[in-house]
Amino acid sequence: MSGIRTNAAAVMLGVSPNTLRSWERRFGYPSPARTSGGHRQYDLADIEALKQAFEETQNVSSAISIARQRGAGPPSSNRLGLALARFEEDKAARLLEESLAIRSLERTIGEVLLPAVAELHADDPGSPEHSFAWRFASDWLSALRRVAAPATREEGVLISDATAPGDVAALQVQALELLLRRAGLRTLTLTAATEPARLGRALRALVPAALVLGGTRASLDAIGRLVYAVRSAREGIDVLAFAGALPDTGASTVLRLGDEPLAARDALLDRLGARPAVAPPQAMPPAAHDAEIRVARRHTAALPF
Amino acid sequence: MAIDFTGRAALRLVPSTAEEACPSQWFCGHCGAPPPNNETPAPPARVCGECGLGLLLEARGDVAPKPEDPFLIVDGSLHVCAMSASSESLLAVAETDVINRPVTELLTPADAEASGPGSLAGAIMHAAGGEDEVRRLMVRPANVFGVRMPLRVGACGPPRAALIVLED
Repeated sequence: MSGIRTNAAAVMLGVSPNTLRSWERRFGYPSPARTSGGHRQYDLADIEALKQAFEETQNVSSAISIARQRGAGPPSSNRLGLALARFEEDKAARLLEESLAIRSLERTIGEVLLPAVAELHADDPGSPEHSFAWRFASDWLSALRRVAAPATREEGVLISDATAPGDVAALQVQALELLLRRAGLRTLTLTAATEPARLGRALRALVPAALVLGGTRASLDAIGRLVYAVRSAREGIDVLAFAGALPDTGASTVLRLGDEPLAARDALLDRLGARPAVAPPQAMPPAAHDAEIRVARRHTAALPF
Repeated sequence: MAIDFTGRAALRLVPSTAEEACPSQWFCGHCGAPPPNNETPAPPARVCGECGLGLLLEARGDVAPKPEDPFLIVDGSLHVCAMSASSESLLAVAETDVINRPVTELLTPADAEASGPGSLAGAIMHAAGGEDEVRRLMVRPANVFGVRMPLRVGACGPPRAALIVLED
């Protein structure tokens, strides 16, 4: 978790480390997080806010009061990360709400939420802090997905989610689905464990114009079977890789969407916008369709990209 | 100019009419202690190294408090910005309770009918406005009768405010 140690914070404020600790005891501010080793780690924004407040007042308690009321500036991934690292759910939710007042939802996800969790993941993916942060972010994205407006476009996007709980890529996939829904697309996310041969009903319901492979946990063999099955049912469907789904060997023609949900959404919309309108789904007898899928099953080794 | 015995004009040194510069003094807004060696503090080091609870402020030497003097810092809107530890004892209030409260909740002019620069409010507003003159007044604690306290009011900062030092 990024932040600054007591000595650095004390130097910034021109005080001794003991003075800084005495403020924490007396005023409860600035309130540092703790590293796994128990060291204090101050939020840089808190220290900056306090330093600014010193210029505007005549004593420390007033400056602390000002810094508290004013907050530490616009919510950032660092501040959100600190709140999550302290298990402060309410504060984390408030920071995201504040961010939504000055940023779009898409930017809040891309600039605040995902980097905060990614940073905790980079520090220690097995830590309770990261686990809490991941769950919090996942719940937040799920809540937004539930209240997303109904689709306004005909195109559907099938997302194959090859991630596991705790993966940063899992949040990226969730975020991409949310952004696609907010762009008016119909989406359906299935786990990579879904049997390709049993996709028939799902494909008939969604009529996807694109298949997005997300996450790194699916083998190339599994991806191949999935793509074959989908392409067998929907000819001409676009296949795109997101969040590291396919290694970039340079030999593949599959479009890489990167791992930024907003950029991926824009690239996907560009791709779909360049396509002719999707034909309405043709009624296909379920038995015939399932037969088609069974054919696809026999070609499990084929890698169509 | 004078004329000497030779009849030629001569220049003569006359006493200066300019106001004597009064040296300024830095002090802690909580404990009143001066910075080490009375040196001007560096910009990032405004917190008092003695108590850690006040910021170092500058005022004229003849108005600046001595350590342990009771004093208050009041802004131009007559709200208390800071209070020394000894004035907390003297006025029986806690600093955190009076910050941003009107100073009239703590001090009342002994001469209630005084107006202009002679009034407490006028003196504070003049000092907070940057006027260099030191004013002396008589006040009493609010809601306490029979106690009169002399005080001096001068400018201090940064940021600019009025320094009220309660005198014995």
